[in-house]
Amino acid sequence: MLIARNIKKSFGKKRVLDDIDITLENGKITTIIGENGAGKSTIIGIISGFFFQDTGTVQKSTVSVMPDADSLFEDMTGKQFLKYILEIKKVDYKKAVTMAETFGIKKALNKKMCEYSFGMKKRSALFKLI
Amino acid sequence: MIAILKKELLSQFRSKRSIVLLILIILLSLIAGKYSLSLSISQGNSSSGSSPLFTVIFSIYIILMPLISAIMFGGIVAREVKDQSLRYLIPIISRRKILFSKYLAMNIYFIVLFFISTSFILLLRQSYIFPLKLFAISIFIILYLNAITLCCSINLSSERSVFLSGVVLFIFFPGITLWNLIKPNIINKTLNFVLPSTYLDGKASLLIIIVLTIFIIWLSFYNFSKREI
Ligand SMILES: Nc1ncnc2c1ncn2[C@@H]1O[C@H](COP(=O)(O)OP(=O)(O)O)[C@@H](O)[C@H]1O
Ligand SMILES: [Mg+2]
Repeated sequence: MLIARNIKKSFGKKRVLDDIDITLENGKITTIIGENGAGKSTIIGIISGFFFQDTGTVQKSTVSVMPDADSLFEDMTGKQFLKYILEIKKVDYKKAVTMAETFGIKKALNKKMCEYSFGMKKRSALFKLI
Repeated sequence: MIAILKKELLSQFRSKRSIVLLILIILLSLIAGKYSLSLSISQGNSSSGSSPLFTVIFSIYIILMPLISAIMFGGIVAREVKDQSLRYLIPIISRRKILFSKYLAMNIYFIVLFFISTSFILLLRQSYIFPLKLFAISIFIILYLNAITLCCSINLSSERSVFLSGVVLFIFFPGITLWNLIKPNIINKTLNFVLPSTYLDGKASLLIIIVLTIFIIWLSFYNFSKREI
């Protein structure tokens, strides 16, 4: 369960979020729709802790995010990246490798991530969440 | 936390620049160890282990360190903010822990380098008196200079500008010493307290550099906690 209340956020003089309320329930798929520049990434950034709201509150437990950007630790192999993140999250690596097969990224785990295609990067990033 | 510490140390020790640096340091240690045998510089107060040779070597390292620290670790935060890879860590581990692990990795890296160099020289000279006091003071200086690099890496937007600030410090520190020699006045006397060499020469209490370091670290943590990524 995630509850955000009265979120306001400006970048410089530009007000991006004005009194936003969101409630997200566990186990439900919720989509945020809006045109480019509407502030979707900004609200997600605030929920994830990348940005700080000017006013308002966010109540949450652990949040997993797949960042927007085309950024991974480029000089690591998929395996190193995975081990790194799993070690921080305290998740068993073997379990993850079995899952990697399902995602079709197992073979790529030994490659450096800068060689990955965009889709591969996204798949690894998504995989990391689970 | 240990995962981040491990990753930073491994990727640093495996990097090309690190290997170059290691080779340079070993070469310098070899030369120092070998040639000092025939020079009077190798004789000194051997009971405390702080021979003039080590004083010279450590002074050289301390002079170079603002530059090397900026080259090696300038991107430690700046790069990950810029390419946004920090966004993978922020949701799963606190910012305080991220920063602490990184700072620890920087310090361990340099302490290991200093230790390698010292051991090499001792081995070559068949002398087994470790320059304990000098080494201990150097650790405080390493903590201080790395704190400055970390603070720059947090507050500046690119690895390049952190490197430039390292260059500035590299010139600034000896510059103050020189200014002090030529024309001592109240300004450069006060500035002496920010110079690493002051502490290496034992000209001021270590307490001052500790307070300076704590202040810079506090500033780093404070700014990082407010930094949007
Ligand atoms: N870090 C930033 N600094 C300044 N302006 C920003 C920043 N991030 C987003 N903006 C601005 O905030 C607005 C909302 O952006 P964003 O949340 O990325 O929109 P979207 O709904 O397309 O994801 C845009 O006008 C964008 O220019
Ligand atoms: Mg967006």
